Amino acid sequence: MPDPEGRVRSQPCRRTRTAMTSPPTHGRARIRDRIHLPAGVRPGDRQTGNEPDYRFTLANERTFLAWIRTSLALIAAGVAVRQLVPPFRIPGGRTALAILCLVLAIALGASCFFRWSAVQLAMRLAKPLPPSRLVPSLAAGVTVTACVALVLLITT
Amino acid sequence: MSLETPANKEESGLQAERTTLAWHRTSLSFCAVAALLAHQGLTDGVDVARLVTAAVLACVGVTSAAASRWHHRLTGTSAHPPTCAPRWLTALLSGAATAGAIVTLFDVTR
Repeated sequence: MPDPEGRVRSQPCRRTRTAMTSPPTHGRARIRDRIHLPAGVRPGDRQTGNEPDYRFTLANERTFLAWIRTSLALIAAGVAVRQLVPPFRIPGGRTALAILCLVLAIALGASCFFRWSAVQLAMRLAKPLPPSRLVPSLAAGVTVTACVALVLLITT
Repeated sequence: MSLETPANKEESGLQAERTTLAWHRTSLSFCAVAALLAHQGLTDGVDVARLVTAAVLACVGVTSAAASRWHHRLTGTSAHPPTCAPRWLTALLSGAATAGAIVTLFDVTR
């Protein structure tokens, strides 16, 4: 079937061919490359593979919801710090803490959907679960925020 | 691949119930954040951006509770074992949380 520009492809596009033929790489390897998606398959496509055990599906869903609640808690923390906490001696301290919380909330809120989708696809294809960057990112973000809060408190 | 035992069959209802409770907790979290933003939006004058964000988050919270209840009611029976949640629903939650954080970030930094 021709694409919108009228070209007829006789084989999968370069990106899919690379995913199908090249071995998984470390570091910045994409989910698609690690899971080796067949041609024309999108991450999260329900028609791919077999329906996994419902318990794993529900566990994945609960994990996604936990990440969403963490993101919402960080939003609430950012608002509370900015509005309810008395000003620190260092100017802009409250705003800096609020920005840290909200940036972390944005990162978690956006990433958890792709994590849920990638895990669901890996389960359908009976592949190992892809490694997650959410946990170390959250740990690092909370550590940095706590250190900034500690410095602000000590200097007050 | 799963072993069909009486314990596993009984657990199927518990797994679905745990997931439904998780959806309800998430909906309550959306509503709590919406209430916080609405309270801040009405303090010291009317802040339209915060009120709109609060309204959107509250609607998403109510929608997710209703949609998850409907989905699990359809798929949590003995004839239809639980299946994956709709992709649009998870995308809605993720998008709403991200958008709420972005709007709040702009509001905090202005």
